[in-house]
Amino acid sequence: MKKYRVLRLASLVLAATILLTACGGGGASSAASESASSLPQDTRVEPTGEPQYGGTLKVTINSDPGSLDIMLETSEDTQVPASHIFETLLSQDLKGNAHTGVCSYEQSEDGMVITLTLRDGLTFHNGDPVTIDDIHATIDRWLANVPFAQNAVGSKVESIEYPDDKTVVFTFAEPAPLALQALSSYDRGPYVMPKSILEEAGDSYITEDIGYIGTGPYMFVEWQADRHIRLARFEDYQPTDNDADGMAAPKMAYADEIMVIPVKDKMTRITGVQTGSYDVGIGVPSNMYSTLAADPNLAVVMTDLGINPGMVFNYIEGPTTDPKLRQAILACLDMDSLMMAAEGDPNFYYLSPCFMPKASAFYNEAGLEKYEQYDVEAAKALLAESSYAGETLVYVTTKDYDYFYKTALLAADMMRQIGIEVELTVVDNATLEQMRSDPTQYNIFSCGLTAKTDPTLIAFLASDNWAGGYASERKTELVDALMSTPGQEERLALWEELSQLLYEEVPVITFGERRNAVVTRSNVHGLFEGTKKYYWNTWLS
Amino acid sequence: MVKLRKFWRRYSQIAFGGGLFLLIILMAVFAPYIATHDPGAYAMQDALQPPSAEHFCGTDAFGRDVFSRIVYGARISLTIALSVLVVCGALGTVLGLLAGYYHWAEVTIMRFMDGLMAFPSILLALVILTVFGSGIQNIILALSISYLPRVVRTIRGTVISVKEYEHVEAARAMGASDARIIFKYILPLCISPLIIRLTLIMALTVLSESSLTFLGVGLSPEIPSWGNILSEGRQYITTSPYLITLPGLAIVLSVLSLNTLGDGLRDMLDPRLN
Amino acid sequence: MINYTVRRLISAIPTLFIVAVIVFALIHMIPGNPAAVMLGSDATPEEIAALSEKLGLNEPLPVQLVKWFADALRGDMGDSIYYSRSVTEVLSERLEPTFLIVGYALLVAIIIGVPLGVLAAVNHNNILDKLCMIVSMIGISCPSFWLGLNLVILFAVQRSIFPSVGYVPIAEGGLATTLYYISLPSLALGLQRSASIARVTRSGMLDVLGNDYIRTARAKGLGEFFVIAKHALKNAMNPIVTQVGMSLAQLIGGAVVIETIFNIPGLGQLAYDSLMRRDYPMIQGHILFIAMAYILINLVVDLLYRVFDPRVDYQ
Repeated sequence: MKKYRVLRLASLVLAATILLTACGGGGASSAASESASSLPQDTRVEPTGEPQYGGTLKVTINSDPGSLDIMLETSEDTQVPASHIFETLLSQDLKGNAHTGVCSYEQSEDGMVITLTLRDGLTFHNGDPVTIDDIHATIDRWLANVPFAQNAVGSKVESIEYPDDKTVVFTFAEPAPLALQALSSYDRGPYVMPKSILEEAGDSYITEDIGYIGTGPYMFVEWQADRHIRLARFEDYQPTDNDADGMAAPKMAYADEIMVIPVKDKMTRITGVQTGSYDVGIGVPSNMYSTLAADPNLAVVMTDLGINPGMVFNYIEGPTTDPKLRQAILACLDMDSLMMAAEGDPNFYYLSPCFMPKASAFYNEAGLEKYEQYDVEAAKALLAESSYAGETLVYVTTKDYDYFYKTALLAADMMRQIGIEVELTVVDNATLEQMRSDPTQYNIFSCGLTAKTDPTLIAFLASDNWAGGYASERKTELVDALMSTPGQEERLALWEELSQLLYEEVPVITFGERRNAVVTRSNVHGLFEGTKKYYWNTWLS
Repeated sequence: MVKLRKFWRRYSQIAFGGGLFLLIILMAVFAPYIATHDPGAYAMQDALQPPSAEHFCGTDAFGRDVFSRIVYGARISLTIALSVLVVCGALGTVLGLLAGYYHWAEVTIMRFMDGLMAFPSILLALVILTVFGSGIQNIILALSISYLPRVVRTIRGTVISVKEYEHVEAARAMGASDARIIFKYILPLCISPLIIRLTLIMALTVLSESSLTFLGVGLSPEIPSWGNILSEGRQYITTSPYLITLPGLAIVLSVLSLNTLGDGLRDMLDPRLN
Repeated sequence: MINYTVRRLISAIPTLFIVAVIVFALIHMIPGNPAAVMLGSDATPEEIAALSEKLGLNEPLPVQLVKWFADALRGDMGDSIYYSRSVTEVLSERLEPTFLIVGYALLVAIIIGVPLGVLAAVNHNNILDKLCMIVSMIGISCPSFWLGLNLVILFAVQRSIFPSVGYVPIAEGGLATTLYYISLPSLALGLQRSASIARVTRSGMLDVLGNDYIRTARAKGLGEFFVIAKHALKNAMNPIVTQVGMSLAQLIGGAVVIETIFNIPGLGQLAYDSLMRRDYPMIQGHILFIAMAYILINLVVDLLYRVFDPRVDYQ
């Protein structure tokens, strides 16, 4: 069995190489390479003319969410339906800038005072007007339950005052560069809910019995367990007049109804769009792209996914606490092959050394030379310098995420090439999360870091206690500086310095950034931009 | 002539089932000689080709030869089926003998077995695999535990009826030890029902392994088991349906061989049922 | 008979108790923490610890077990960790599709299996018999998920006769729409089971057909169809009923895989999802519920014996 696996690994590398040369050289004219070369163009044909209202849009999520309490839940399955029902105090564009949401805002010259003004005439889905008491209750629950709110606002604020029936004034004791971002955050931002509901739920999850009542463009209608969540247009919704993109753009609510359907199985999802049961399916495997693109009833759109597959080292104990060993591993990895193995097609990933997504203002190429070095000899030299003495490194991964497993399989093989003993431990995702929280159980684990709007939100930077336990003086200095420096230029420079540091200390290695293909029926237009999935501006022709 | 026909009628099932099963065993043993390609060799330029003279069952998304993968897959299925047979057979026989012979053991063992049988065996296997993780050893463990109660019940049932037989009573009267009675007089009579039961359990094992692997909890994707070939092929259900149909046939044929063999053995060894 | 029923139900309690202990022991051996699963991969240990505390996951196992038993005896199976609602409620929402699919599949199995078996028995040892038995032997040997996929290829992909995925509850589209949606999964499950029913029917009928009263009935000049339907089949019913009961139990297990393929929001998918989410109370409640269903099915089968064979005596 073992021999066979090695064989397979070797052939995997070979296959990747073959495909790469096929695409690059353009000599072979096989089906595979043809489909690859036709990939970058989306097959979408945008119709001329005005968007149309009406129809039921059937979109898919991965799994039935536990609750729609978007302030407390972090999973995308909750966020997709709930972000249509609830809105944050401010809204955010693709670059991460804040715009008017439920409130408009003003920030003082020195950045130390933020004033929010509740927009006139807004009502909840139950017809009640949105009052300053609701805003107050929302901010209180948010600060009490969301760590990011506490870090970005709560710990830095001197006072929060409510001088009249439409104004909130945040006065900060120290610079709070992330405050506006937090107030407009999609992930666990201050989603406005009626005071009565927040009081009833307290710190527990809001359930359907308590009521999902928000201010968003769609109202909650029903939730049939494991089958769908039905949303209907909120006729009294008042779009903002923001001139902005992404989620800050005015929300039009074109479709009469949105059905959010949980479909666990990726193939069932795609087949469902092919046979017309769903309108939008996310996560088209690269090898199905050409088949789907050729179907006149379907359109396939490439989108950024903002997920960085990678590996995290045990920074607390064991051989991987030696930076030389970590650097040796970084040097032996062929990132292109790794990403190729994960995604199966060069158009389905970006080679990127950065932990912030390519589309972000924070994208930089610090550490690029180390990211792309792939130098086996250098790796061997680093290994010789290190304290590594032939210990077997336990590399934990899961096949719950295909790209975790495939990259780990190949990375382990590359590490073996330079003389590191690796034992790949394949478990399910829940077990992986358990194992990585105990430093005695692993040396390396697979990760998929999701896109953040600010570097300070990246899990291993936000906390020294996140799995792996990356802690260092320089890291703390730079992260603290990022947390308290207001100017964008200065922050970009700090992040560049921090990015460079990550290639010296190597607590985590990113292999690149994943992209994704979304398949829709061909009459679906105006799909979401960016990595967050929303459908209020999507319409059917 | 009449005799021959009678003979054929009696043994045709065994001949067919056993023959087919033997072929599958041979396929597994001589897989390297039968397979036309390396089952793990990637050839992206040949991806997703329909069946042809070069690739009898076509190629999968990585250009791997599906026929060769099916041939090697027989090794996985047989390894699991035979291991479950051994584990289940040994453990089940011991527990069954105890439960049938000693009253004190009966209550404990049979209650426990009732508990295991009180919900679908696939659900039990699913829980066990989640506990221990996927992999060949663990799937053997999960399926052995799931099917254990059936063996225990079969053996216990036989022991209880055999216990009253005259020669057993006589041996006991002559002061033979329990061990001697069990192994010399009772065990031999349990062999036939055990063989029948185990053959059918092997058939169930092949079916369950493919279902569990298909669900994603059975075997790692790099192992070319029939369940894995099917679940990978599922992506191409609209364009390359042969990726579903052909590996499925391998499962059907091996289960069919075992079921037929089991039936034939029952007719031969247990004439009461005929 | 009422006495018998009550006695059977009481004797089921120890079995359920053992099921509960087995399941409790097994699922707490599963590595992983539901709090960590719920919070996702960015969660810090502090957040996970806080949520575990809130969910009551930090209490010692025996304490959890005792608490759970005490509640279960009062009919309260606890709250799902993932859904933060009662297990009974979550289960009941998913009953309808599984119940209908299993029922539909059983109907398919009987409608195909019984006539096939009768046909084979009546034509004992000739070519039709052989053919029926070969067909049913192949049927038994097919994995139902594979049958399901082939049905999707034939009836949803190549011709759009049936939908490939999804479910519409009766309350929404009426029974006809519901049945339309679950046709393929039910067929996949039912076809496989029909094979074993056909085999049992055949052997049951063969036992009966040789009997004197069948000869008498024939001698009286009763029509062959009447003889078969009225006399023979009725007397061959007991093994068939047993087989139907066993099939019902196996269909419940088969639903786990089939519901995933067809994205049916039923008990089978719930079982799998709950395992992956480490939703302990949900898994415990789910398996206990299935175990109760199994025990009831067995009881009903035993009670039906009497209907078909009045000689059966329930002491």
